[in-house]
Amino acid sequence: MGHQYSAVLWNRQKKIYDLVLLAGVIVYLLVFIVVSQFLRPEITEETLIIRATGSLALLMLHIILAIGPLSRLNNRFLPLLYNRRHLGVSMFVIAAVHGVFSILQFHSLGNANPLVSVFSSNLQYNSLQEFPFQTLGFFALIIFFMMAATSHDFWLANLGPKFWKTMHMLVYVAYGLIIMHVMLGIVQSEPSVLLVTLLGAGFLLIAGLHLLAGFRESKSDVEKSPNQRGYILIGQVSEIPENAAVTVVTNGEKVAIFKYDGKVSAVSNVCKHQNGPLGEGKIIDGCITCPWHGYQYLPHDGCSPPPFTEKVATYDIILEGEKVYLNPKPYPEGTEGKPAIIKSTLNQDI
Amino acid sequence: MKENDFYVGYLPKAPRSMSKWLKAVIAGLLLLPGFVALMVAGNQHRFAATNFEYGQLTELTGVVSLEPVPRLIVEAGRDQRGGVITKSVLLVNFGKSGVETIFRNLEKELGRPLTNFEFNLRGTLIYGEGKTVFELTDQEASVLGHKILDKAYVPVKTVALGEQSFEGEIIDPKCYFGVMKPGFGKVHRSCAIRCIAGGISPVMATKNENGEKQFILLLADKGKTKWPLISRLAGKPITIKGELKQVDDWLVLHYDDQLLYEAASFPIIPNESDKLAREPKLLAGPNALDANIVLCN
Ligand code: HEM
Ligand code: FES
Repeated sequence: MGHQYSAVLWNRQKKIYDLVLLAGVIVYLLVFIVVSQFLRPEITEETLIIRATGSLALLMLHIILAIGPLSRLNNRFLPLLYNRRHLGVSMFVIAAVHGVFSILQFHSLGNANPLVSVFSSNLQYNSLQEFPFQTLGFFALIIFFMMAATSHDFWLANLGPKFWKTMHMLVYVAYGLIIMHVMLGIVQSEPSVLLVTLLGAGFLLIAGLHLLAGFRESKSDVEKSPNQRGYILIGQVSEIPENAAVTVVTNGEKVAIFKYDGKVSAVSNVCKHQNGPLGEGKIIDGCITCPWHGYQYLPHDGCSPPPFTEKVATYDIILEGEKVYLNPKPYPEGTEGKPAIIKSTLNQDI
Repeated sequence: MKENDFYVGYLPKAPRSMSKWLKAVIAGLLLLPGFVALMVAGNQHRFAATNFEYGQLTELTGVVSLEPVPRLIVEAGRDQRGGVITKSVLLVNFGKSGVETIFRNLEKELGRPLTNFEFNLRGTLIYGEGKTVFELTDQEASVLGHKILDKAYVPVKTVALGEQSFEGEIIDPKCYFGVMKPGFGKVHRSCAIRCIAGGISPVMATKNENGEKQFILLLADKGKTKWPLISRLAGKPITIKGELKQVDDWLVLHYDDQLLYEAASFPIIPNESDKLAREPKLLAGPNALDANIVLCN
């Protein structure tokens, strides 16, 4: 996988992803500018920039938030997830242009520090209608900045996946802040059924997709309890797709059970990169390959092939005839477990 | 998902079976922004047909008066009997600040009330809705020269119109008459607050009985500062009561600021940035005081 790592940094898929991203941004800005100039020729350049970038950033935020549940609901959306980080960083840059232009336009060259002015000019924090909406955008921008600044895997490794994931959950807080930023800002100023409808539809879409994906998962995530011997019945060998997995939840942990090369192995379902669902991955070149960004693990010991050092927990599998059982006691991460050999396949092979 | 449908981002190519789907997704991802941009851009309210001649400097000649607010009185034409028709061009500074200090200092330097002079100013024109504002883009350096007049200027027209009450919005004339679009309302509010706190004269935008737009300069009567906390009330609907006067081509409302703040729905307490707001300094010297008295009649 050595050469593949460098390929992960910059490769054809990623280039296509970024090109589509760039094209989308250009389409948005162009249409916004042309329509504004044509229908509202009196608009100033500053207002044009502020509005085009603010609304574009919000659209991108919706796409970013939709990709997660979409790809959990349907694998075919995984290509959108693969380079979501670039989408996120681009969104931050565009939101920052909006924020900086707004601060320059509305707060600079006055008798107060522009950053102080964002908070101190309108002081009606006690009124919903008059609320200083810009402050909400400001905090959201800080969140996006933290996420963009720590988006690189370097930070993921240094901050630890738990902390990193928690911090990235702040995106939902930022989303809420932005909705209020728009509702208490432009919607107060220029009441509009269309804007409220667009915002509402966006919110329903994001909330609906998350609920649906969560519901699906919770249905498939029913805890299975062990039998008297302490094993969990997974099902028939034939129910596990070749070079892919089924999953089961036990003791609150999700386990992926893979069938490959006439063997059955079980590993923790949680990818060490960004907690991607290994059970939705595939065996490629003998390795479990994460569906999200392609991190790989050997199925028998849960170790990433050298030079990589990621390790996931492994489990014992017991085969009784056609029946597959899991011993729910995990081995420490990266411990070699004994894969169960499928006899019928062996017989066929001989 | 079919066997070979698995997408691995770092492989050079996505699986074949997915390419059709991916093309559809890409098309969607290009159509969606176009659609949303069309809706959002097309949904913007109309902007005022006002102007800010950004980057284009103009020279104007006229009398500068700081009463009721800093303005340049220029000749706008002649009436049928040959009398001069004047227009008051409100003077504002570069950025979000007023010009009072510039002219107070100049007056000190000249040793006589400003109204004894004709000034040649260079700056940027801002105009719309029948009003003109002039930005002294180069600040002090915008005053190119002056000429002493035979007779000091006195307002052509000062008419007391009695106590009246108006409903509307407090705006900063610099943004409203052209620099920003929209230059009023909630999105612009914090900017209006900054401009007025910085010394740009507050103006009430209201409507007269015929539903026509009407603009009234606001002047605090009892406050210690001339552009005081009224900035906090900018950018939102408000009712304001006071003594109305016509001074040349502008209406001026003298309001009791203590009453106004007491009636506000939220506490209006000075903070650091208000302290920074320029306080008008009364001129030293008998000439200057005379001039103030004459003009305030
Ligand atoms: C420092 C941070 C920010 C400031 C000072 C700020 C300020 C503003 C202002 C003044 C407006 C009204 C502009 C107008 O309509 O004329 C606005 C609108 C808006 N902002 Fe922000 N904003 C900030 C951050 C953000 C962020 C991070 C986002 C989103 C991702 C965002 C999204 C929007 C949107 C969607 C609108 C409505 C667009 C429109 O007016 O057509 N803002 N913002
Ligand atoms: S989560 Fe990124 S590769 Fe698994």
